[in-house]
Amino acid sequence: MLIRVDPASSTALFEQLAAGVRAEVMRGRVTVGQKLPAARELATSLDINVHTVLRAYQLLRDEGLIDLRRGRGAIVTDHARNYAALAESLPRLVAEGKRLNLSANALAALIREAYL
Amino acid sequence: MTLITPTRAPRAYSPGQVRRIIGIGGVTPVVFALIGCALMASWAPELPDPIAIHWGAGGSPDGYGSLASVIAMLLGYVVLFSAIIVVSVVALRSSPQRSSKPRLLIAGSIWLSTVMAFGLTGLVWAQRGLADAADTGSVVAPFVLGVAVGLVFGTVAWFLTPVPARLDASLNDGAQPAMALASHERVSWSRSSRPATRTIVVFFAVFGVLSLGSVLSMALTAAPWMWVTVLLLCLVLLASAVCFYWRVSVDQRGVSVRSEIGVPTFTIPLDEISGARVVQVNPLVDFGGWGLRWTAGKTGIVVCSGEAIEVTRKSGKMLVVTVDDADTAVALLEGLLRRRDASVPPAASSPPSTPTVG
Repeated sequence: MLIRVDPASSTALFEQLAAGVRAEVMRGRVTVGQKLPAARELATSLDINVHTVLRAYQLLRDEGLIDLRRGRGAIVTDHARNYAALAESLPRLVAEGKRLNLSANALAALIREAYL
Repeated sequence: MTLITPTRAPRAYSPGQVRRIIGIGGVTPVVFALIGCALMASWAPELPDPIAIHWGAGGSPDGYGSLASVIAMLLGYVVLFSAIIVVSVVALRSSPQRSSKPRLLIAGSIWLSTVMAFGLTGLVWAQRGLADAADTGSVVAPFVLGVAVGLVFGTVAWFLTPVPARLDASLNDGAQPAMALASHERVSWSRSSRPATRTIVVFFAVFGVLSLGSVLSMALTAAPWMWVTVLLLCLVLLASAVCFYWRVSVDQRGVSVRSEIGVPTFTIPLDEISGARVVQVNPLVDFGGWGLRWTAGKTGIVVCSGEAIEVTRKSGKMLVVTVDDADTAVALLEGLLRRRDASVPPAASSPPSTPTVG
Protein backbone atom coordinates (compact mmCIF):
# COMPACT_ATOMS: atom_id res chain seq x y z
CA MET A 1 0.00 0.00 0.00
CA LEU A 2 1.35 3.40 -1.02
CA ILE A 3 0.25 6.37 1.10
CA ARG A 4 1.25 9.96 0.37
CA VAL A 5 0.38 12.85 2.69
CA ASP A 6 1.31 16.50 2.55
CA PRO A 7 1.34 18.33 5.92
CA ALA A 8 1.38 21.64 4.00
CA SER A 9 -1.95 20.91 2.33
CA SER A 10 -5.16 22.54 3.58
CA THR A 11 -6.87 19.13 3.70
CA ALA A 12 -6.67 17.54 7.16
CA LEU A 13 -4.02 14.81 7.45
CA PHE A 14 -6.52 12.13 8.49
CA GLU A 15 -8.65 12.96 5.43
CA GLN A 16 -5.58 12.64 3.20
CA LEU A 17 -4.74 9.30 4.80
CA ALA A 18 -8.26 7.92 4.38
CA ALA A 19 -8.33 9.16 0.76
CA GLY A 20 -5.00 7.42 0.19
CA VAL A 21 -6.35 4.10 1.44
CA ARG A 22 -9.52 4.45 -0.68
CA ALA A 23 -7.39 5.25 -3.74
CA GLU A 24 -5.30 2.11 -3.17
CA VAL A 25 -8.52 0.08 -2.89
CA MET A 26 -9.68 1.54 -6.22
CA ARG A 27 -6.33 0.76 -7.85
CA GLY A 28 -6.75 -2.82 -6.68
CA ARG A 29 -3.52 -2.77 -4.70
CA VAL A 30 -5.37 -3.13 -1.41
CA THR A 31 -7.86 -5.99 -1.59
CA VAL A 32 -10.52 -7.72 0.51
CA GLY A 33 -9.10 -9.46 3.58
CA GLN A 34 -5.80 -7.60 3.44
CA LYS A 35 -4.39 -6.19 6.65
CA LEU A 36 -3.48 -2.51 6.69
CA PRO A 37 -0.25 -1.54 8.46
CA ALA A 38 -0.64 -1.17 12.22
CA ALA A 39 -1.54 2.42 13.16
CA ARG A 40 1.63 2.94 15.15
CA GLU A 41 3.76 1.53 12.31
CA LEU A 42 2.16 3.77 9.68
CA ALA A 43 2.41 6.82 11.98
CA THR A 44 6.16 6.24 12.52
CA SER A 45 6.65 5.61 8.83
CA LEU A 46 4.94 8.89 7.84
CA ASP A 47 6.29 10.74 10.89
CA ILE A 48 2.81 11.81 11.96
CA ASN A 49 0.80 11.40 15.17
CA VAL A 50 -0.61 7.93 15.80
CA HIS A 51 -3.99 9.48 16.71
CA THR A 52 -4.18 10.94 13.20
CA VAL A 53 -3.81 7.45 11.73
CA LEU A 54 -6.34 6.04 14.20
CA ARG A 55 -8.78 8.80 13.27
CA ALA A 56 -8.39 7.93 9.58
CA TYR A 57 -8.89 4.23 10.33
CA GLN A 58 -12.01 5.03 12.40
CA LEU A 59 -13.39 7.06 9.50
CA LEU A 60 -12.81 4.13 7.15
CA ARG A 61 -14.43 1.77 9.65
CA ASP A 62 -17.50 4.02 9.85
CA GLU A 63 -17.71 3.78 6.05
CA GLY A 64 -17.55 -0.01 6.37
CA LEU A 65 -14.34 -0.28 4.34
CA ILE A 66 -12.27 -1.77 7.14
CA ASP A 67 -12.85 -3.82 10.26
CA LEU A 68 -11.02 -2.73 13.40
CA ARG A 69 -10.51 -5.53 15.90
CA ARG A 70 -8.35 -5.35 18.95
CA GLY A 71 -5.25 -7.42 18.41
CA ARG A 72 -6.05 -8.19 14.80
CA GLY A 73 -5.45 -4.80 13.25
CA ALA A 74 -7.33 -3.16 10.38
CA ILE A 75 -8.72 -5.66 7.88
CA VAL A 76 -10.26 -4.60 4.56
CA THR A 77 -13.89 -5.77 4.32
CA ASP A 78 -16.02 -7.03 1.42
CA HIS A 79 -17.12 -3.41 1.01
CA ALA A 80 -13.91 -2.89 -1.04
CA ARG A 81 -15.60 -4.71 -3.93
CA ASN A 82 -18.25 -1.97 -4.09
CA TYR A 83 -15.55 0.45 -5.21
CA ALA A 84 -15.35 -1.21 -8.64
CA ALA A 85 -17.99 1.05 -10.25
CA LEU A 86 -16.41 4.21 -8.83
CA ALA A 87 -12.95 3.06 -9.93
CA GLU A 88 -14.38 2.77 -13.42
CA SER A 89 -16.23 6.09 -13.58
CA LEU A 90 -13.67 8.29 -11.80
CA PRO A 91 -11.07 8.31 -14.63
CA ARG A 92 -13.88 9.23 -17.06
CA LEU A 93 -14.97 12.08 -14.78
CA VAL A 94 -11.39 13.33 -14.45
CA ALA A 95 -10.81 13.08 -18.20
CA GLU A 96 -13.98 15.09 -18.77
CA GLY A 97 -12.83 17.70 -16.21
CA LYS A 98 -9.46 17.99 -17.95
CA ARG A 99 -11.18 18.36 -21.32
CA LEU A 100 -13.04 21.36 -19.87
CA ASN A 101 -9.77 22.78 -18.46
CA LEU A 102 -11.08 22.43 -14.90
CA SER A 103 -8.61 22.31 -12.03
CA ALA A 104 -8.83 19.44 -9.54
CA ASN A 105 -10.32 21.91 -7.05
CA ALA A 106 -12.91 23.12 -9.53
CA LEU A 107 -14.01 19.56 -10.30
CA ALA A 108 -14.10 18.76 -6.57
CA ALA A 109 -16.22 21.86 -5.98
CA LEU A 110 -18.70 20.68 -8.61
CA ILE A 111 -18.89 17.27 -6.94
CA ARG A 112 -19.39 18.91 -3.52
CA GLU A 113 -22.21 21.00 -4.92
CA ALA A 114 -23.88 17.96 -6.43
CA TYR A 115 -23.81 16.30 -3.00
CA LEU A 116 -25.93 19.05 -1.41
CA MET B 1 1.77 8.70 -11.05
CA THR B 2 2.16 6.36 -13.99
CA LEU B 3 4.54 3.45 -13.92
CA ILE B 4 5.72 1.27 -16.73
CA THR B 5 4.90 -2.33 -16.00
CA PRO B 6 8.03 -4.32 -16.85
CA THR B 7 7.44 -7.36 -19.01
CA ARG B 8 8.99 -10.51 -17.61
CA ALA B 9 12.36 -11.42 -19.02
CA PRO B 10 12.27 -14.23 -21.60
CA ARG B 11 13.08 -17.76 -20.51
CA ALA B 12 16.80 -18.53 -20.35
CA TYR B 13 16.56 -21.81 -22.27
CA SER B 14 15.12 -22.76 -25.64
CA PRO B 15 12.80 -25.82 -25.87
CA GLY B 16 15.71 -27.88 -27.25
CA GLN B 17 17.94 -26.90 -24.33
CA VAL B 18 15.11 -27.68 -21.91
CA ARG B 19 14.90 -31.22 -23.31
CA ARG B 20 18.66 -31.55 -22.89
CA ILE B 21 18.53 -30.33 -19.27
CA ILE B 22 15.70 -32.72 -18.48
CA GLY B 23 17.77 -35.51 -20.04
CA ILE B 24 20.96 -34.73 -18.12
CA GLY B 25 19.58 -33.56 -14.77
CA GLY B 26 16.31 -35.51 -14.63
CA VAL B 27 16.40 -38.72 -16.67
CA THR B 28 20.05 -39.69 -16.04
CA PRO B 29 19.87 -39.62 -12.21
CA VAL B 30 16.62 -41.60 -12.27
CA VAL B 31 18.21 -44.17 -14.62
CA PHE B 32 21.16 -44.50 -12.18
CA ALA B 33 18.70 -45.00 -9.31
CA LEU B 34 16.67 -47.54 -11.31
CA ILE B 35 19.81 -49.56 -12.18
CA GLY B 36 20.71 -49.57 -8.47
CA CYS B 37 17.18 -50.64 -7.52
CA ALA B 38 17.16 -53.43 -10.14
CA LEU B 39 20.52 -54.77 -8.90
CA MET B 40 19.35 -54.70 -5.27
CA ALA B 41 16.10 -56.46 -6.16
CA SER B 42 18.00 -59.13 -8.12
CA TRP B 43 20.09 -59.94 -5.03
CA ALA B 44 17.00 -60.37 -2.82
CA PRO B 45 17.25 -64.20 -2.56
CA GLU B 46 20.83 -64.00 -1.27
CA LEU B 47 20.18 -61.35 1.40
CA PRO B 48 19.49 -61.71 5.12
CA ASP B 49 16.14 -60.36 6.30
CA PRO B 50 16.15 -57.72 7.71
CA ILE B 51 19.25 -56.16 6.22
CA ALA B 52 21.53 -53.67 7.95
CA ILE B 53 20.66 -50.08 6.97
CA HIS B 54 22.58 -48.01 9.49
CA TRP B 55 26.12 -48.20 10.81
CA GLY B 56 27.41 -46.99 14.15
CA ALA B 57 30.57 -45.02 14.81
CA GLY B 58 32.57 -48.27 15.21
CA GLY B 59 31.80 -49.40 11.65
CA SER B 60 29.39 -52.18 12.61
CA PRO B 61 25.65 -52.16 11.88
CA ASP B 62 23.28 -50.68 14.48
CA GLY B 63 20.07 -50.28 12.49
CA TYR B 64 18.09 -52.78 10.44
CA GLY B 65 15.32 -52.57 7.87
CA SER B 66 13.78 -54.21 4.84
CA LEU B 67 15.28 -54.28 1.36
CA ALA B 68 12.16 -52.50 0.10
CA SER B 69 12.85 -49.50 2.36
CA VAL B 70 16.35 -49.09 0.90
CA ILE B 71 15.01 -49.33 -2.66
CA ALA B 72 12.26 -46.81 -1.86
CA MET B 73 14.76 -44.46 -0.24
CA LEU B 74 17.11 -44.50 -3.25
CA LEU B 75 14.34 -43.95 -5.78
CA GLY B 76 12.43 -41.47 -3.62
CA TYR B 77 15.35 -39.17 -2.83
CA VAL B 78 16.77 -39.19 -6.36
CA VAL B 79 13.39 -38.49 -8.00
CA LEU B 80 12.59 -35.73 -5.47
CA PHE B 81 15.94 -33.92 -5.70
CA SER B 82 16.38 -34.14 -9.45
CA ALA B 83 12.77 -33.01 -10.00
CA ILE B 84 13.25 -29.93 -7.76
CA ILE B 85 16.51 -29.01 -9.49
CA VAL B 86 15.32 -29.58 -13.06
CA VAL B 87 12.05 -27.69 -12.53
CA SER B 88 13.81 -24.65 -11.11
CA VAL B 89 16.58 -24.59 -13.73
CA VAL B 90 14.11 -24.95 -16.60
CA ALA B 91 11.96 -22.11 -15.20
CA LEU B 92 14.96 -19.79 -15.12
CA ARG B 93 14.59 -16.45 -16.86
CA SER B 94 17.44 -14.71 -18.56
CA SER B 95 19.25 -11.93 -16.77
CA PRO B 96 22.11 -9.59 -17.70
CA GLN B 97 24.48 -11.37 -15.32
CA ARG B 98 26.49 -14.38 -16.35
CA SER B 99 25.44 -17.36 -14.25
CA SER B 100 27.03 -20.78 -13.91
CA LYS B 101 24.61 -21.82 -11.16
CA PRO B 102 22.39 -23.94 -13.46
CA ARG B 103 25.45 -25.99 -14.43
CA LEU B 104 26.43 -26.34 -10.77
CA LEU B 105 22.91 -27.46 -9.80
CA ILE B 106 22.64 -30.04 -12.59
CA ALA B 107 26.17 -31.34 -11.84
CA GLY B 108 25.18 -31.54 -8.16
CA SER B 109 22.06 -33.51 -9.04
CA ILE B 110 24.15 -36.05 -11.00
CA TRP B 111 26.76 -36.22 -8.22
CA LEU B 112 24.20 -36.81 -5.49
CA SER B 113 22.36 -39.52 -7.41
CA THR B 114 25.67 -41.28 -8.18
CA VAL B 115 26.72 -41.22 -4.52
CA MET B 116 23.33 -42.52 -3.42
CA ALA B 117 23.16 -45.22 -6.11
CA PHE B 118 26.71 -46.47 -5.43
CA GLY B 119 26.45 -46.17 -1.66
CA LEU B 120 23.07 -47.80 -1.13
CA THR B 121 23.60 -50.49 -3.77
CA GLY B 122 27.05 -51.13 -2.27
CA LEU B 123 25.78 -51.59 1.26
CA VAL B 124 23.23 -54.12 0.03
CA TRP B 125 25.87 -55.83 -2.17
CA ALA B 126 28.12 -56.29 0.91
CA GLN B 127 25.38 -58.32 2.62
CA ARG B 128 24.91 -60.97 -0.07
CA GLY B 129 25.30 -64.50 1.27
CA LEU B 130 25.22 -63.44 4.93
CA ALA B 131 22.91 -65.30 7.29
CA ASP B 132 22.81 -62.46 9.81
CA ALA B 133 23.05 -58.81 8.76
CA ALA B 134 24.93 -58.05 11.99
CA ASP B 135 28.03 -59.67 10.44
CA THR B 136 28.26 -57.00 7.72
CA GLY B 137 31.55 -55.14 7.80
CA SER B 138 32.17 -51.51 7.03
CA VAL B 139 30.47 -50.16 3.91
CA VAL B 140 32.43 -46.93 3.57
CA ALA B 141 34.15 -48.11 0.37
CA PRO B 142 31.06 -47.96 -1.93
CA PHE B 143 30.27 -44.45 -0.70
CA VAL B 144 33.85 -43.28 -1.32
CA LEU B 145 33.71 -44.87 -4.78
CA GLY B 146 30.36 -43.14 -5.37
CA VAL B 147 31.82 -39.75 -4.40
CA ALA B 148 34.75 -40.24 -6.82
CA VAL B 149 32.66 -41.53 -9.74
CA GLY B 150 30.06 -38.83 -8.98
CA LEU B 151 32.73 -36.15 -9.36
CA VAL B 152 33.61 -37.49 -12.81
CA PHE B 153 29.94 -37.73 -13.90
CA GLY B 154 29.20 -34.33 -12.36
CA THR B 155 32.06 -32.72 -14.28
CA VAL B 156 30.80 -34.24 -17.53
CA ALA B 157 27.27 -32.99 -16.73
CA TRP B 158 28.69 -29.50 -16.01
CA PHE B 159 30.09 -29.27 -19.54
CA LEU B 160 27.01 -30.79 -21.19
CA THR B 161 24.59 -28.41 -19.45
CA PRO B 162 23.84 -25.38 -21.60
CA VAL B 163 24.68 -21.92 -20.26
CA PRO B 164 21.58 -19.73 -19.74
CA ALA B 165 21.01 -17.05 -22.39
CA ARG B 166 22.11 -13.63 -21.20
CA LEU B 167 19.85 -10.67 -21.47
CA ASP B 168 21.07 -7.54 -23.19
CA ALA B 169 21.65 -5.17 -20.25
CA SER B 170 19.80 -2.35 -22.00
CA LEU B 171 16.64 -4.49 -22.07
CA ASN B 172 16.78 -5.07 -18.35
CA ASP B 173 13.75 -3.87 -16.45
CA GLY B 174 15.92 -2.69 -13.55
CA ALA B 175 15.73 1.08 -13.82
CA GLN B 176 12.46 2.58 -12.67
CA PRO B 177 11.35 6.16 -13.22
CA ALA B 178 11.76 7.94 -9.89
CA MET B 179 8.52 9.03 -8.23
CA ALA B 180 8.24 12.83 -8.12
CA LEU B 181 8.09 13.92 -4.48
CA ALA B 182 7.49 17.37 -3.05
CA SER B 183 10.07 18.44 -0.46
CA HIS B 184 7.58 18.36 2.44
CA GLU B 185 5.61 15.32 1.29
CA ARG B 186 5.55 12.17 3.46
CA VAL B 187 5.29 8.86 1.67
CA SER B 188 5.05 5.31 2.96
CA TRP B 189 4.91 2.09 1.01
CA SER B 190 4.52 -1.27 2.67
CA ARG B 191 3.56 -4.73 1.60
CA SER B 192 3.72 -8.22 2.99
CA SER B 193 5.91 -10.80 1.30
CA ARG B 194 5.00 -14.46 1.61
CA PRO B 195 5.37 -17.62 -0.45
CA ALA B 196 2.70 -18.72 -2.92
CA THR B 197 0.20 -21.11 -1.30
CA ARG B 198 1.54 -23.81 -3.60
CA THR B 199 5.06 -23.40 -2.19
CA ILE B 200 3.80 -23.62 1.39
CA VAL B 201 1.78 -26.77 0.62
CA VAL B 202 4.75 -28.44 -1.11
CA PHE B 203 7.12 -27.42 1.70
CA PHE B 204 4.95 -28.82 4.46
CA ALA B 205 4.13 -31.96 2.45
CA VAL B 206 7.83 -32.72 1.79
CA PHE B 207 8.83 -31.75 5.33
CA GLY B 208 5.98 -33.80 6.80
CA VAL B 209 6.84 -36.93 4.83
CA LEU B 210 10.57 -36.66 5.62
CA SER B 211 10.02 -36.06 9.35
CA LEU B 212 7.37 -38.75 9.62
CA GLY B 213 9.80 -41.14 7.91
CA SER B 214 12.62 -40.26 10.32
CA VAL B 215 10.43 -40.43 13.41
CA LEU B 216 8.86 -43.74 12.34
CA SER B 217 12.19 -45.35 11.49
CA MET B 218 13.53 -44.22 14.86
CA ALA B 219 10.47 -45.45 16.70
CA LEU B 220 10.90 -48.83 15.02
CA THR B 221 14.56 -49.04 15.95
CA ALA B 222 13.71 -47.56 19.38
CA ALA B 223 16.45 -44.93 19.16
CA PRO B 224 16.86 -43.26 22.55
CA TRP B 225 17.57 -39.88 20.93
CA MET B 226 14.18 -39.69 19.28
CA TRP B 227 12.87 -36.75 21.33
CA VAL B 228 15.94 -34.69 20.43
CA THR B 229 15.20 -35.23 16.75
CA VAL B 230 11.53 -34.37 17.24
CA LEU B 231 12.57 -31.18 19.05
CA LEU B 232 14.98 -30.31 16.23
CA LEU B 233 12.28 -30.90 13.63
CA CYS B 234 9.96 -28.53 15.50
CA LEU B 235 12.71 -25.89 15.65
CA VAL B 236 13.37 -26.23 11.91
CA LEU B 237 9.65 -25.86 11.27
CA LEU B 238 9.46 -22.72 13.44
CA ALA B 239 12.55 -21.18 11.84
CA SER B 240 11.19 -21.83 8.33
CA ALA B 241 7.84 -20.28 9.24
CA VAL B 242 9.65 -17.17 10.53
CA CYS B 243 11.68 -16.95 7.30
CA PHE B 244 8.57 -17.25 5.11
CA TYR B 245 6.51 -14.26 6.28
CA TRP B 246 7.85 -10.71 6.00
CA ARG B 247 6.69 -7.14 5.84
CA VAL B 248 8.62 -4.83 3.54
CA SER B 249 8.38 -1.05 3.85
CA VAL B 250 9.92 1.96 2.17
CA ASP B 251 9.68 5.50 3.54
CA GLN B 252 11.85 8.55 4.24
CA ARG B 253 13.82 6.52 6.82
CA GLY B 254 14.88 4.02 4.17
CA VAL B 255 14.08 0.34 3.65
CA SER B 256 12.94 -2.07 6.32
CA VAL B 257 12.23 -5.78 6.02
CA ARG B 258 10.71 -7.21 9.15
CA SER B 259 9.68 -10.77 9.91
CA GLU B 260 5.97 -10.89 10.74
CA ILE B 261 6.85 -11.85 14.31
CA GLY B 262 9.22 -8.87 14.58
CA VAL B 263 12.56 -10.66 14.65
CA PRO B 264 14.73 -10.62 12.61
CA THR B 265 14.53 -7.17 11.05
CA PHE B 266 16.74 -5.79 8.31
CA THR B 267 16.85 -2.02 7.90
CA ILE B 268 18.92 0.18 5.63
CA PRO B 269 18.77 3.93 6.40
CA LEU B 270 18.21 6.12 3.36
CA ASP B 271 21.64 7.72 3.87
CA GLU B 272 23.37 4.38 3.34
CA ILE B 273 21.56 3.51 0.11
CA SER B 274 23.20 4.16 -3.23
CA GLY B 275 20.51 2.77 -5.50
CA ALA B 276 17.65 0.35 -6.05
CA ARG B 277 16.22 -1.61 -8.96
CA VAL B 278 13.69 -4.28 -9.80
CA VAL B 279 15.12 -7.74 -10.46
CA GLN B 280 13.65 -11.13 -11.29
CA VAL B 281 14.58 -13.82 -8.79
CA ASN B 282 14.65 -17.58 -9.16
CA PRO B 283 15.11 -18.75 -5.54
CA LEU B 284 16.97 -22.02 -6.12
CA VAL B 285 19.21 -20.80 -8.93
CA ASP B 286 19.99 -17.31 -7.59
CA PHE B 287 20.10 -18.04 -3.87
CA GLY B 288 20.23 -21.81 -3.53
CA GLY B 289 16.84 -21.98 -1.87
CA TRP B 290 14.03 -20.17 -0.09
CA GLY B 291 13.93 -18.05 3.05
CA LEU B 292 16.77 -16.05 4.49
CA ARG B 293 19.82 -16.55 2.26
CA TRP B 294 23.33 -15.24 1.94
CA THR B 295 25.39 -15.34 -1.21
CA ALA B 296 28.44 -13.34 -2.38
CA GLY B 297 27.79 -9.75 -1.21
CA LYS B 298 24.04 -10.26 -1.17
CA THR B 299 21.53 -10.88 1.57
CA GLY B 300 18.41 -12.45 0.14
CA ILE B 301 14.94 -12.60 1.64
CA VAL B 302 13.54 -14.91 -0.94
CA VAL B 303 10.11 -16.45 -0.47
CA CYS B 304 8.86 -16.76 -4.04
CA SER B 305 10.08 -16.55 -7.60
CA GLY B 306 9.41 -13.39 -9.57
CA GLU B 307 9.90 -9.72 -8.99
CA ALA B 308 12.10 -8.44 -6.19
CA ILE B 309 13.66 -5.18 -5.07
CA GLU B 310 17.43 -5.06 -5.01
CA VAL B 311 18.80 -2.33 -2.72
CA THR B 312 22.51 -1.50 -3.03
CA ARG B 313 24.29 0.03 -0.06
CA LYS B 314 27.04 2.60 -0.46
CA SER B 315 29.39 -0.15 0.75
CA GLY B 316 28.41 -2.20 -2.31
CA LYS B 317 26.52 -4.83 -0.32
CA MET B 318 23.06 -5.69 -1.56
CA LEU B 319 19.73 -6.68 -0.06
CA VAL B 320 17.30 -8.54 -2.29
CA VAL B 321 13.68 -9.00 -1.22
CA THR B 322 11.03 -10.76 -3.26
CA VAL B 323 7.81 -8.75 -3.06
CA ASP B 324 4.88 -7.90 -5.31
CA ASP B 325 4.54 -4.36 -6.64
CA ALA B 326 8.33 -4.02 -6.53
CA ASP B 327 8.07 -1.31 -9.23
CA THR B 328 6.31 1.05 -6.85
CA ALA B 329 8.78 0.36 -4.04
CA VAL B 330 11.76 1.03 -6.32
CA ALA B 331 10.18 4.14 -7.89
CA LEU B 332 9.52 5.52 -4.40
CA LEU B 333 13.02 4.68 -3.20
CA GLU B 334 14.54 6.36 -6.26
CA GLY B 335 12.32 9.41 -5.63
CA LEU B 336 13.45 9.55 -1.99
CA LEU B 337 17.11 9.23 -3.03
CA ARG B 338 16.73 12.01 -5.58
CA ARG B 339 15.10 14.25 -2.95
CA ARG B 340 17.88 13.41 -0.47
CA ASP B 341 20.62 14.23 -2.96
CA ALA B 342 18.89 17.45 -4.01
CA SER B 343 18.46 18.76 -0.47
CA VAL B 344 21.79 17.82 1.13
CA PRO B 345 25.06 19.35 -0.01
CA PRO B 346 27.33 16.47 -1.08
CA ALA B 347 30.11 17.36 1.41
CA ALA B 348 27.83 16.93 4.41
CA SER B 349 25.79 14.03 3.08
CA SER B 350 27.31 11.18 5.04
CA PRO B 351 26.53 11.14 8.75
CA PRO B 352 28.43 8.57 10.81
CA SER B 353 27.05 5.22 9.80
CA THR B 354 25.63 2.89 12.38
CA PRO B 355 25.44 -0.88 12.13
CA THR B 356 21.90 -1.55 11.06
CA VAL B 357 21.36 -5.13 10.12
CA GLY B 358 19.90 -6.64 13.24
